[in-house]
Amino acid sequence: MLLLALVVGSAVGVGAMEEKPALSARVEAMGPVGRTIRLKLWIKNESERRLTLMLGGRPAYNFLVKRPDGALVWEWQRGKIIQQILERRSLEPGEELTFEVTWRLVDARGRRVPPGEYVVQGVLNLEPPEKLLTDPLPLRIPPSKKARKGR
Amino acid sequence: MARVLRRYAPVMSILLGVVLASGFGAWSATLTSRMPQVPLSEETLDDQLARLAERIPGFGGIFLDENGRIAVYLVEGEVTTLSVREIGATIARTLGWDEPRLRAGAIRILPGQYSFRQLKEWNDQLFPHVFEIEGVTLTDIDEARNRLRIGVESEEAAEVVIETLDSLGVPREAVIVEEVEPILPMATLRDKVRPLVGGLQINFPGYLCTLGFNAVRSSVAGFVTASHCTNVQGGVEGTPYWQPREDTDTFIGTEIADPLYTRRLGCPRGRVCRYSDSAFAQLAFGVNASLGYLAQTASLGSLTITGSFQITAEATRRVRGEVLNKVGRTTGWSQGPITQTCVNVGVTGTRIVLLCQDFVQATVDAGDSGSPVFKINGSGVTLYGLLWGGNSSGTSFVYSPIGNIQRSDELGSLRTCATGSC
Repeated sequence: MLLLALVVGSAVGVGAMEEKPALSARVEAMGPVGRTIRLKLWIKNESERRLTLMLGGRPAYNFLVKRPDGALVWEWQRGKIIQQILERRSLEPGEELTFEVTWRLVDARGRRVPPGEYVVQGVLNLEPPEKLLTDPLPLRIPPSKKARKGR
Repeated sequence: MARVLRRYAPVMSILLGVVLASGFGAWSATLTSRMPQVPLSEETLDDQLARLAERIPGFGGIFLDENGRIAVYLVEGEVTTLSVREIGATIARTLGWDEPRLRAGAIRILPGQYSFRQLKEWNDQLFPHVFEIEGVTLTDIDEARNRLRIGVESEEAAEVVIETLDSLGVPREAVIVEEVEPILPMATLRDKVRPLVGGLQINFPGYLCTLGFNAVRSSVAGFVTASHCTNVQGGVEGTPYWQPREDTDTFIGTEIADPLYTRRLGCPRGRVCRYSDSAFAQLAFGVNASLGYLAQTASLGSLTITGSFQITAEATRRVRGEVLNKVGRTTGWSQGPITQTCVNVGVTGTRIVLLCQDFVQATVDAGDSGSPVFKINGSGVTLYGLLWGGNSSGTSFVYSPIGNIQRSDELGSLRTCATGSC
C-alpha cells in the first residue's frame, strides 16, 4: 500500500488549496479465473478531513502490467479514447474509491502472455501532470492446466 | 550604433512621454532620472497636445512619418504668426522633447482639417457615451490621421457608434470607425477573461472543460462546448457555466442544446450514436463575448494569452496530413497533422459511438475537452471543429468536425466567424 501526500492544486470552489491530503492507493489482483484476472484499484482518504481531488479524464483510472524488469506488457487504457474532462471529486474521511477492470492475460498486441512473474500497478490520473500510482504488486501467472498435464 | 540611437531617439522620447503621461507609477521613477525635463503630472499626452494647440493656433497633431520625419498638422486657413522654427521650439518646450530637429525647424507641415483642441473636445464628449455601446474596444485621437478613431468588434457596434455621433452632433467625417481585434489582457486560459473567446477554461458543476467557440444559433448568442461537458451527455438539463470557475461574477451561460444520442441508421446494435460531441449554451445577459475569436497564447504549449486568432472561414473538407491547431485550458496551444479522417469512435466507458470523427497527432490532456480545432491560414484561421477526446499518452486528440456539428440533427446552422469576415 502506498501512502501519498499530495497537494491538490485545482480544487474548484472549495478551500482545499492549502491542504496536504493523505491518500492511500493500493491494487489487488483476483485470479486467475480461467483466462482472466480481475484488477482492482483502491483509493482511500486516510486523513480526518474531507479531501478534494481533480480526476483527470473520463475514465481517470488505468492499470499497468509489467515484467519484473519494468517492461510494459499491457495497459488498460491503451487504444482507448478518453474524454478529456477534469472532474472534481470529494472524499470524506475514510471514504474509498474503487475501480475494477479485467485483464485477459494478453499483451498490448492481444497475444497470450507466457506463464511467469509480473507486476501490476494501478494509476489514478489527477490534474495533469499529476498521477497517483500504487506500489507494484507482484503477480504470478501459473502454467495452464493443459500445459501442466502435457508435462 | 550612435547613428541608430540618434535616429530612434525621437521615437523613444515620445514613447517615454506616453508612458509617463499614462501614469505607469512603477516605471516613472526610473524614467524620470533619464528625462528630468518631462513634467511628472497627471496630465495625459492628449492634455499636453491640447496645451500645445493653445500655443500653436491650428495645431492638429504630431507624429513621426514613415520616414521618421517629424510631421505636424496645421489646420488649413488657420492664421499663425509663428515660423516653422518657432513652432518646433514651442513643441520642444511644451512636450519637454529635447530634439534638435525641432529647434532647427526641420518639421514637415501637413494640411489638417481639425485642430487638436476640437478633436479632443469631441473625444471627451464621445468617450462616456461610446463605451456604453457593446463591442466598442477603444477611442483615440489619431494624431497621424487628424481624426478621431473608434475601434469596434463588429459592424453592428459600428452602426450604433455612427448613430451616436449623429445624436451628439460630432461630424461623421471627423471620426474613423473601424473594426479591431478585441483587446485581451495578459492572462492565462485559466483566468477570468472578457470578452469571452474560444479556448478558455469553463466550469460546470463538478467539472472543468474548455470553451470551444462563440456562436449564434437561431439568433441566440452563445458558445459551443463538448456534449460531455454538460451535466448529462445528450439531452438538455440547463447546465450552468462559469468562466473560469464558479464565483459571484463569473456566470456566463446555460446549456440549451445537446441532442440525444440515438440508435440511428448505421449505429451499431446496442450502441447510441451522434455525429458530434457538441452542445450549445446561451450566453448569460450582460456577458461580453467576441464572435469569431479564439485565444492565442504566446507559443505552442503556453497558457499565457497574448492575442487572438480570428475565425475567417469554416472547413468544408478535411485532408489527412493537414496541420491543425487547438487551444485548451490544460495543454494550451498545440499543433499537429490530421492522422485519420472520418473514423467511427467508441467512447470508453459508455455505449456511445461518435460517427465520422478526425484524429490529430498533437498534445492533449484532461481539461482540454471542448477546445476549438482550427487551421492557420495567413491572417485568420479556419474553424475545423471541437476537441472531445484523446489517447492515454496525450499525444493524439479526436475532434468532431464543424460540418458534423452543424448537421440538422446536431446543433444545426451556426454563425461562428468574426462579423463580416465569412
